[in-house]
Amino acid sequence: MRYCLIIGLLFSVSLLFGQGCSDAGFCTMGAMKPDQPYNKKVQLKLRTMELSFYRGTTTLTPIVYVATLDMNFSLNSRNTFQVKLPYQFVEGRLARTNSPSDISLCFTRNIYSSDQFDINLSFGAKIPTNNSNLKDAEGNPLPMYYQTSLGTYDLIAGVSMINRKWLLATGIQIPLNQNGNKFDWHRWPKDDADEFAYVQEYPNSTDLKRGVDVMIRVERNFRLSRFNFSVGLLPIYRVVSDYVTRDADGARVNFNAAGDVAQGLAMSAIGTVGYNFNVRSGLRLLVGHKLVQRAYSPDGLTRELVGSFTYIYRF
Amino acid sequence: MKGLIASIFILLSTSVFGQPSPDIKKFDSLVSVTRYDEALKFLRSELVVYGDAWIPYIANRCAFVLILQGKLDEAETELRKVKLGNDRLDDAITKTNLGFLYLNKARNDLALESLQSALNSFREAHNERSLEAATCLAYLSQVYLTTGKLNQAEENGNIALDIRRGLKGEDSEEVAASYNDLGLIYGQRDPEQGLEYYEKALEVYSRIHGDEHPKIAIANTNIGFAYRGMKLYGDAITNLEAAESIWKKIYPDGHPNQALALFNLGLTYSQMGNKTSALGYFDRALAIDRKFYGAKHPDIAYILNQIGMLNLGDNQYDAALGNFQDALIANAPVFNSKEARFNPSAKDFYNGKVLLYTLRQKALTLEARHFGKTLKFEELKWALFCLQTCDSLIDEIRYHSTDENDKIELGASANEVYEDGVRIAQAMSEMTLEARPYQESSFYFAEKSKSAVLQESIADSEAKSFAGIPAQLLDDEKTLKSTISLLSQKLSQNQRQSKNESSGKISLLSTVSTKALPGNWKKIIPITTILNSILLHHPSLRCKKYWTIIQHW
Repeated sequence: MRYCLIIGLLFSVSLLFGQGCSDAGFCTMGAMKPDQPYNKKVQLKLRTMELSFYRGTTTLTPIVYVATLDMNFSLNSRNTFQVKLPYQFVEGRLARTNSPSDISLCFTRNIYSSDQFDINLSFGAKIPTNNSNLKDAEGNPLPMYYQTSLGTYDLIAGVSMINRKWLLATGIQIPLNQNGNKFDWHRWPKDDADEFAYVQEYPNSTDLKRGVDVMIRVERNFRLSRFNFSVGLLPIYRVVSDYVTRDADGARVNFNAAGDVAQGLAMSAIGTVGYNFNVRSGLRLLVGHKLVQRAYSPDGLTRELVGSFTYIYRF
Repeated sequence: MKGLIASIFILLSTSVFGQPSPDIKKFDSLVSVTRYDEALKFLRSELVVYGDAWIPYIANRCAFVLILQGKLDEAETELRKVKLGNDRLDDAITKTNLGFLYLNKARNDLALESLQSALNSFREAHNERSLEAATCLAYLSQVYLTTGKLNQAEENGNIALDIRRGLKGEDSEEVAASYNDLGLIYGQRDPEQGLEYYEKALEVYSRIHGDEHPKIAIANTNIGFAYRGMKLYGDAITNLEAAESIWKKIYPDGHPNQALALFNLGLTYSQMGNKTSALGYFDRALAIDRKFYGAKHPDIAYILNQIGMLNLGDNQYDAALGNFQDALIANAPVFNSKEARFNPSAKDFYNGKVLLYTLRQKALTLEARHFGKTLKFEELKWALFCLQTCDSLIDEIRYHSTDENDKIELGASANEVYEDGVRIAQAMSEMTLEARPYQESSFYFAEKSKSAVLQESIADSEAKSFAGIPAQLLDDEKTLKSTISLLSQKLSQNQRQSKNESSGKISLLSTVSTKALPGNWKKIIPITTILNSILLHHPSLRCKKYWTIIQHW
């Protein structure tokens, strides 16, 4: 029966290949991270370093690659500090971009621990590494899809309850400023009809002010001695819509020409497979795909399919 | 003291008065240098020369030596050669030795019965204030101490001291031995008072023997234990080092007694948290024991266990596992595998308790290595296998043990094993897709744990009620116990009051005895008294050097 369940779950993950998930960073921070370790018997290591390689396809041509150094430091048995340093590459029909991506800092405190479950609380911030206005070779501002930074300072908070089988987490990410992106397809050259038609598929994102996101993660874990698996759902609800400056009249709007509002639910399914060589090191493969997509996403967080491969070292 | 009893015995046996006697000096000198087999051979050859009249004497002496050698069944056979009922003093001395035998067999019930019977025989022979009777009382005191009856232990120990002091004066081996006994007894309640008595013993031994004598070394060891128990580690080390130094001078090529002192120094440093020094001492002790015993001996296993514990405490899993595996090999006559997945069978051991300890520690090390290093599932399988072997071993030991204290001690160890079994099997069931066998194993250990608790409860009077024993019978039992206690008290008081009245007989007996004793009789002291003091004060040493000290005393 268990074999059937595991095989079924893996099969369902493989079927979902070809779509994707998207978030502004908080889903992989502190208490909100997927596939968190939970074994009170395994010897605690004070430091963890994760090196991950991420590939995400989008609804359009850009493919996003991110190499991330994710470091966790245990301040004591209850408090942990996390630093995430990503470097992002984007390759699409309009351009190739790369640079260090937004830096994440997160403090996590275990507020309750029992034999049955733990409750953790996280507070963090995301720091932009540029103003989110990278341009193509001709100097045209690129859509958010191609930007290596979201260009905003964000505050993040979250809480999770974890036990051997389940992880339930919720969090909120609040951008504090609008970014400096100036993309508006109206301003792109019109000498190539095909190119111009294509660029119109990108939503305008001039002076984007991202809205507030709230996430919930529900994850079922299967933990063996060295292998572990997880499957989960990650609904992210944009409770406050995005706003951009409309080129025609300079008005701040939160909808597109079709009337779609930059707000609402995006939901992804996530699956992970992990293998620990020992208590010090291990590997993790994560795949995720979008189940529900917002119709209008000027922030460019429209991943169809993501996959990441992570090496974990604890010391 | 046993030698003393036996020596006295020869003079008291009227059948041998005036006859040529065996060469006691030669026998005693052989015993004093631990050449037991030669001593036994010599004594038996003397029996051929001097005839059956010497059977009671020689049988008692042989039995004493055999007890020292740990050949308890042979010792019992020797003692059975003495026909009781011919002479009350013969009977008393033989029963005293039987009591000593049972004490060493941990058959405290039989020891108590035999020693009380011996005391009665001494009284009937009008020798209740003799040195032999004092020895009997000293053994009785040990039996009470072993069974946790401190008041009676103290009472009998004090009477023995009183008799010995009266007959031999303050500066005598016998009095020093009594101080040691009392040091142990008082030490159970008040470590400082116990220490006071140990120091008195040391003073007496020093006055008799100077500063470099085995008895000084043993007294220093006792004091070292007492200081360590009080966490006064500096003083403990000073005394243990003094003991080690004496043994080294006496045995320049190394000796298990020196190894014992080194081992205890290691243990003291270990308690102080100085792992490097502790390991140094353990290694030296191990080298001496291996040189003396060869590759296989439970003492070697015991030292390896301690080294393993140190390494485990330091998360040196591989080293600890190696130590415990070596300990298994040292403590098993047949088993020789260095591979961690193998264990000796539950019947293949020299010392079952040491094997139980080693197997459990090996299981804990495997568990710790799994969760602390490798995450290999097979290590938990091996750990569970160790605990399953422990389970069989517990049943084996329980089946063959007749000592109630041993069973209680075993019960405590068994509980730990079962708890470990529940924990490890449960953890395994959570990390495999084939959970059922491990859940069943966890359930099995849980049930065993339950049964162990019930087994312990049987000793409790409540359990007797639950067992359906009529209340009237339980009341009768209480009444009888009270009566026995009261009579025992009165008897003791009566003995003290009659001290002066019986002094004439005692003096006569003493004079006769002393004259007829072998030349080195003063060197024969009740080392078992001291040893039991050590062992009872430090139960962990029970399986370590018990026989070693006796043999070389």
